[in-house]
Amino acid sequence: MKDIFKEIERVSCEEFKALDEFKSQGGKVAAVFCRKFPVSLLQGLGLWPLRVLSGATGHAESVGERIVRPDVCPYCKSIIGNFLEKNSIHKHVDIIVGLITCDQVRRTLERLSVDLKLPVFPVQLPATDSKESEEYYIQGVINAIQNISSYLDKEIDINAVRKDWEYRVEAAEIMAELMWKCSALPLITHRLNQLYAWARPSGFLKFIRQLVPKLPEFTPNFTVITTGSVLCNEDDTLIRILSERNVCFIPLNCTGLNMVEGLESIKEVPDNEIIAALSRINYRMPSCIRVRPNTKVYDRLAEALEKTKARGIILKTLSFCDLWYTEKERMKRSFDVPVLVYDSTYGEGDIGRASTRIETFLEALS
Amino acid sequence: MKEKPQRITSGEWETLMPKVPEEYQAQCTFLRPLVPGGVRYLFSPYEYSCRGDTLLRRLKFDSGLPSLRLWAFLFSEKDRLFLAKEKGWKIFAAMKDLGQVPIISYAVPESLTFYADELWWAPCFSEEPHLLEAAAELGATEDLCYVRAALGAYKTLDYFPKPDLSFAGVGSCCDDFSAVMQLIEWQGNPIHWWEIPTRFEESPLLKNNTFKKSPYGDSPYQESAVKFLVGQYEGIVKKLEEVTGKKISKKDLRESVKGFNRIRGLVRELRDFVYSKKRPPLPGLEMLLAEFIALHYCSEPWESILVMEDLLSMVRKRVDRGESPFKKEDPVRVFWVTPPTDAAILTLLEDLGGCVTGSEYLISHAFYPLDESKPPLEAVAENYMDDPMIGASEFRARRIVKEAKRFGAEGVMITGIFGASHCPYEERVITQAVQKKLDIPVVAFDVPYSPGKLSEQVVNRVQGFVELLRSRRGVQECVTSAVMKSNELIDTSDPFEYFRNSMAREVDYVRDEKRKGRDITGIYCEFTPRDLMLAAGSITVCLCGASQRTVAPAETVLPANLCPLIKSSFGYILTNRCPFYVISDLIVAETTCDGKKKMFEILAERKDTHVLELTQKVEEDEAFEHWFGEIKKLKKKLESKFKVKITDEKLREAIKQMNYERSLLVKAQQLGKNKPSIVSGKELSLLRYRVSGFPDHLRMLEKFIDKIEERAAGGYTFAPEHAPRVLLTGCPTAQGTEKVIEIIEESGGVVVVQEACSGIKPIEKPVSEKGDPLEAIARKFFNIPCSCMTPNKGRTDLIKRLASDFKANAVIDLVWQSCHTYNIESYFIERFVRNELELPYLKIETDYSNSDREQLRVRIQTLLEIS
Repeated sequence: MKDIFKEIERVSCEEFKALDEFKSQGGKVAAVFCRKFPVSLLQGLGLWPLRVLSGATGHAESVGERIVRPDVCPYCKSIIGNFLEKNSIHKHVDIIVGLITCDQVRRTLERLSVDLKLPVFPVQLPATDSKESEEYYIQGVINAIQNISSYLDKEIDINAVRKDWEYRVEAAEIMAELMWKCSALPLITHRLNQLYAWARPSGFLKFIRQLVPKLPEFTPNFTVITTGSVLCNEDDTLIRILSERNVCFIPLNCTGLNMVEGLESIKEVPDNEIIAALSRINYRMPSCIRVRPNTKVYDRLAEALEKTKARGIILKTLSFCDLWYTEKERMKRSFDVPVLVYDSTYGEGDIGRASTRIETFLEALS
Repeated sequence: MKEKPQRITSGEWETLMPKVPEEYQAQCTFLRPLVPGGVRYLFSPYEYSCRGDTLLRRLKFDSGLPSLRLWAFLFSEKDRLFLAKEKGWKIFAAMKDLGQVPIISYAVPESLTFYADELWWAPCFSEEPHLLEAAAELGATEDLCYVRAALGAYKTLDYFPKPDLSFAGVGSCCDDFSAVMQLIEWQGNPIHWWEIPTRFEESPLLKNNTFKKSPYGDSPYQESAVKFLVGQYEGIVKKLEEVTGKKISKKDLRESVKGFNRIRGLVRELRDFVYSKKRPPLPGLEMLLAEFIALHYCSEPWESILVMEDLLSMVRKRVDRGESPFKKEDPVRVFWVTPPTDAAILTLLEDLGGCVTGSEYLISHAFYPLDESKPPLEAVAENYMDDPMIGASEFRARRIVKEAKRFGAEGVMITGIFGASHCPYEERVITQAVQKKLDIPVVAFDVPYSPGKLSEQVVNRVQGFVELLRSRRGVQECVTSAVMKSNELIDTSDPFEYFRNSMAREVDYVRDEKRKGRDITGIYCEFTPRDLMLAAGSITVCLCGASQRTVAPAETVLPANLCPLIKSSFGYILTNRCPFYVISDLIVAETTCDGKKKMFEILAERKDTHVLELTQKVEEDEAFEHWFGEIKKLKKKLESKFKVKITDEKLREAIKQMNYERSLLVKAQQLGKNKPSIVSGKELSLLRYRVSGFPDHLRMLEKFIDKIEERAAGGYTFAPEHAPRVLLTGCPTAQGTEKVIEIIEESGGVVVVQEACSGIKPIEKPVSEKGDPLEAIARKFFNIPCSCMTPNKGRTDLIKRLASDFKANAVIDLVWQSCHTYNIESYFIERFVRNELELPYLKIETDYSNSDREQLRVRIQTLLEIS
């Protein structure tokens, strides 16, 4: 098992080195925060697109509080904090493609733009599920790509987009299968999901193809579904406990299955429709809790419960993430299995309390 | 009503109410297109404070009549919504857009639209946490801002009826309310979701976006946002047409746009006028109310325009005369950002010598006109681009700077809300912008939910800020002000004052007990055995039914030729205004008369109602058996409803307690026997409280008796020896309907005793503490000599005894209009009083209104002259 982790670590380091090299050669990095932006379009503009899921620490939160009050979601605070201190992956970021997913993210993007002077290209991701909203989103992505293209003074290379996208589709299929089949220890899956979010897709696909057959057999005691807010790399208390207890998890969240499902090939799509087609595909990826009405999230959870016979649901939310945390009662009343609601910040102080609650919940399910 | 403007308490308003001219009251009516002549609504804040809106006790109000009208118009919004719903109009809730959807929905005739968001005010106005508690049960807990109260309101339907449809704007919306709206839908409320686009800041990075400017607010926006928004509004129109079955034409929409331009224009004019004055002619609270009217007419397009015109006219006159409700010549000028969670802060600021000189309550877009030259939906969409909430914090900060400068603010106060998704981001941005551009102090703090009293922290911040602003003028002084508490209105050391305000205490008590798990039983009549309810562990409350205010709403459902007591009682139910009814678990009613009996049938559709069938031929042998059977059925009902066993032991204990309470009440009533009178009838009528078994009441009853005896010992008399002593019989008079007593005593007479149910009749005999306790209870109530009995010899016997014991010189028989039983029985009473008692007799047939006061005065004075 250690070898697997070492292998993932090795690939991560290689990707970091490649990123450094890319930057040293004048390459530019574009950050996104949400899975619903078709990052292959950024690749087509010669950028290194990465989804920022690292730096989830109590320290970064505290730094973020220099600009916003403490009663802000830890993910948003840590983004601000990390960009302020130029930590980790954040120091490489040249532009931000800001999907407006919720009020706090919208206002975080404003802060990055105004206070940190980062070039932010905003795109509104509608919160309603309608044809008009979809079209509005597509137009928003087209505008953003045009704006970035003007900013970089570079035309989009559609062939590069196609290539990047097809790698991602294939990698996503493998990752989805891995998660649904519970083929790996939760912590392995978590690390791979994080890598998927920022590594170059060609390299990641090659790596995952080689890795999956080598994975040691994982025979979980039972299965739980995890859902809720974004799970960043360091925010892994839940994943660690699940791994220690040999429990399989079905991550129905935006850093798990929701990130890799719903992607489809664009081989048949004409060049002039590529941007719209990718935007549409991403828009139609598994629904998010923020979408109104959010019944599809509940339907998906119900289907997953049926499919996996999971014994319980863990709703992991971040403090002040209103959109997830307010669903706690509804979630408890909507399913026949026990639901654990656990909210946390990234601070150390929360870990002990959270661990006890998760362990007790898992004991009750076993 | 020509006193100089001042800031007064709700209690002070109450004392001014009799001076409000009848013709002015008659002008103030709502829903004229629905109810012929409209429904009157001009009542003082005091009345609302007594009925549970306890925050009002901590506020100070402008003393002008148009300000009273403004407050009453706001308070009566709930009445309008319930009444319109009852009469078949469509009720729509708009959520989050603050000033957009109503422009579209008011194009639909026979409909009203309100804002569920504004319920975040409700916990402040009522200080009643039940909305927040209801919301918490459904997952909307303290980490959300107070908009969560809207969820509680949808759940309880205490503040508005279930809307036919709610329109929820999401997208560029605060996370808190987006989450709350989703839970509202989960609870089975139909919602039409629509998307609010984000307004981007103009930037060189967005060169491929086409930017335009809004026609009046001059706000830059990307063109695509308005195009998209028009499509969203078309979806709203389509949905409205689907729900109402009515086609909405462009002309309808244009008319609605015009209507909103009218109200917005009035609000704009008022703001410009008031905020620009060195000594503002209107306090901040009234301005806050007026500004919110621009959003949705406060659920009434017709009257709201008149309310605003009236207000504007008053402030103009004040300025012409150099008048202002502010005592200080130069109050420090504070610009207010974000509406405060606790409105008492505005009162505090003004008490400390400050004034509000401009505001940005997140609704500033609603003060701009709508462009009538554009297609209506485009005009609405363009206007939305002026909304400070849908774009960058910098946009809002710029507007605040501009407005604060325009009105000459000396400081900016930002009252935030913990947990709100926008506050933690905006606070710093606004503060820095104001300090940089205007170089004036800014104070920013969250206002916690602190029922009953402003939090000390908040008080200190406001005091410190006012001191700072004054010191910048070169004035070094420490400013302090007494902060009013909700319960300070009632002086608990004075029993008269206590009972005058007993309702407010009762509301607090019953709500507290309910929260602790006690069951509440609502009743309407003295035949209902309180002893039995007490034995079941339930609190018995006599429900509201003594206000002219609720008569008009009731008449939209019930026939007008019913007695005011029935109509008022039902009006309270219809408008959800009786605070006890709202939290009652069970209503125990009775078949005293046809009107009540049938009204209870309607009531039973709304709440669990048990009806006791009264035996009306009391002299017949079988009568008691039947009645006893009814009491037994009630006992069973209580046991099953409240899941308790009512044992004989519990009954005996309850009887003992109630007998003690009755004995105190009788003792108090018997003080009327003194000659010369040592207590007035009005004072004794204060003891008609609603909640039985309330320990505070018992304590104060004892004090009440002691106080009267004490003052009599000191030589006090209420009236001279020769003052005519009146025995009042007939229909009951509850608090609020004592006009006959008032006129008698204003005319030199004294009401020495009331034979009625509001007097000695139901209390003079105790329940026997011997034998079967249930039978004893049945027997006591069986013997109440009410006019619904036939024949009703007991009443004349009682009158005879009371006339003798209380040395009455005259008998006045009060009959509420359309109370057939008392009205007809007057025939016997008159004959009995004139022939057997040989006393002067006057029958008065009236209702709850004050319109016949002077006529009655003449008649009563004539009677007193011959007594």
